[in-house]
Amino acid sequence: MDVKASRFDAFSIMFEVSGIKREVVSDRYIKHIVSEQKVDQKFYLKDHLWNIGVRCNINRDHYKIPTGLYQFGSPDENSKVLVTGNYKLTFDYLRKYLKKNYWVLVIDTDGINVWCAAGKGRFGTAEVIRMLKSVEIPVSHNEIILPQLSGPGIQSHLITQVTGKKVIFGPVRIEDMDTFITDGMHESMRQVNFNLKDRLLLLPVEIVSSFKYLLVALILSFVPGLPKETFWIFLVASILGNVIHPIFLPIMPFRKFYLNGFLLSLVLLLFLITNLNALGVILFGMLYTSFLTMSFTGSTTFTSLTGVKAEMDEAVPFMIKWGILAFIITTINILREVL
Amino acid sequence: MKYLDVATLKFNQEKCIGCKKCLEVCPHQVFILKNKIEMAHKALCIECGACQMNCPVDAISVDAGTGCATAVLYTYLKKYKFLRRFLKGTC
Repeated sequence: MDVKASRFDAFSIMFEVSGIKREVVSDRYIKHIVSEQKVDQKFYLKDHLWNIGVRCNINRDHYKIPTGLYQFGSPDENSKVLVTGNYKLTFDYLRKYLKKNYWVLVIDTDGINVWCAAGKGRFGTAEVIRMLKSVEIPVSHNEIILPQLSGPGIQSHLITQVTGKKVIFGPVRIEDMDTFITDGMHESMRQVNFNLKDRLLLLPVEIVSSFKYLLVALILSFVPGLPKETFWIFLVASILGNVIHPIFLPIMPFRKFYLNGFLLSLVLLLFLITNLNALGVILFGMLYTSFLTMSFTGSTTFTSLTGVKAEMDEAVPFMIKWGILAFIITTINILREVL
Repeated sequence: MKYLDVATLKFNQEKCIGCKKCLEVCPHQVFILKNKIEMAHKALCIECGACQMNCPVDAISVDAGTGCATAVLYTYLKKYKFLRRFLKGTC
């Protein structure tokens, strides 16, 4: 027992020095659905509005709920214990799909979803241990179920060593949890997908993030010497990168994302029909599309760090050269227009 | 959908004790169980690091990280002090 305790001390020290800041999180987003520990799984207008907002990149970094133990349904001492992060959008997935009785332990992931938090170490071994030590869970068994995608941050054998809890990795998607509890694991529950619905849900954030660049393009449209089509070129470039590319991702011919971007951006050359002097801006638009598609690597579920680095080693020098070319041609276009 | 086949995943089958944790955590089923555990689909590896973290005998090694171009770019640009204040954190 002493060995275990000293191990935990080592962990808390490690935690202190790792410099993770903790803040007190208010319960403003769940005040209306949680009383005591009990969670109301009905969705209210407030939930829907906030969720839509967050999907559109509004308040996305501050959509947090307090950590602690929550009751889903009427759990007793035999009910399963789930562990999850403190992102309200994640919590709402649990509220939507859990139909059985559970204890849910919400840990501090700084309002970040399970997979991303695990990837950055925030949904980590130390945090799970800290919460298990500080919260009393009234159950007679010693199993906890972690999301499978918390794996990158979790060393399950260490959690078992320190707390004595048996760690089970549950399914990837919470909608499979009830089936997992009754029928056990099925291979399909372990597989991460990236189907059309998953990709469509990502679109609003990407689109809203591009608004500020489109505003700049709008202003540039009125600058003398620059083509009046500037705004439209960037609008189309943005749609190609932010909407068309994610939707048609499975049938894109190249494995390197930036090449698919350049391929799609050939559409922009159609603007030459209306104005030959738009070539410089079109080249910038093509660069923008390509950059957007390359950025989408971070939103997918199948890219690796080494792969992205390899792609960027090739893409970035090429993009810089492309940018210089675009700049020169734009300058020539402006001179031709003004002189 | 597949990405570039360059993952740094390494598996030492001699060290493996067959606890099957890697089968549990891998989101792309890189490992399969025949008589022993085998690294069957290395090309699908996304280097998330879950198998490495949960292998109790260090039989698996991988340079783990997130495959995100923006993150790679920011890590590079953050080397330059004057750029840092323009770079807001992403996910």
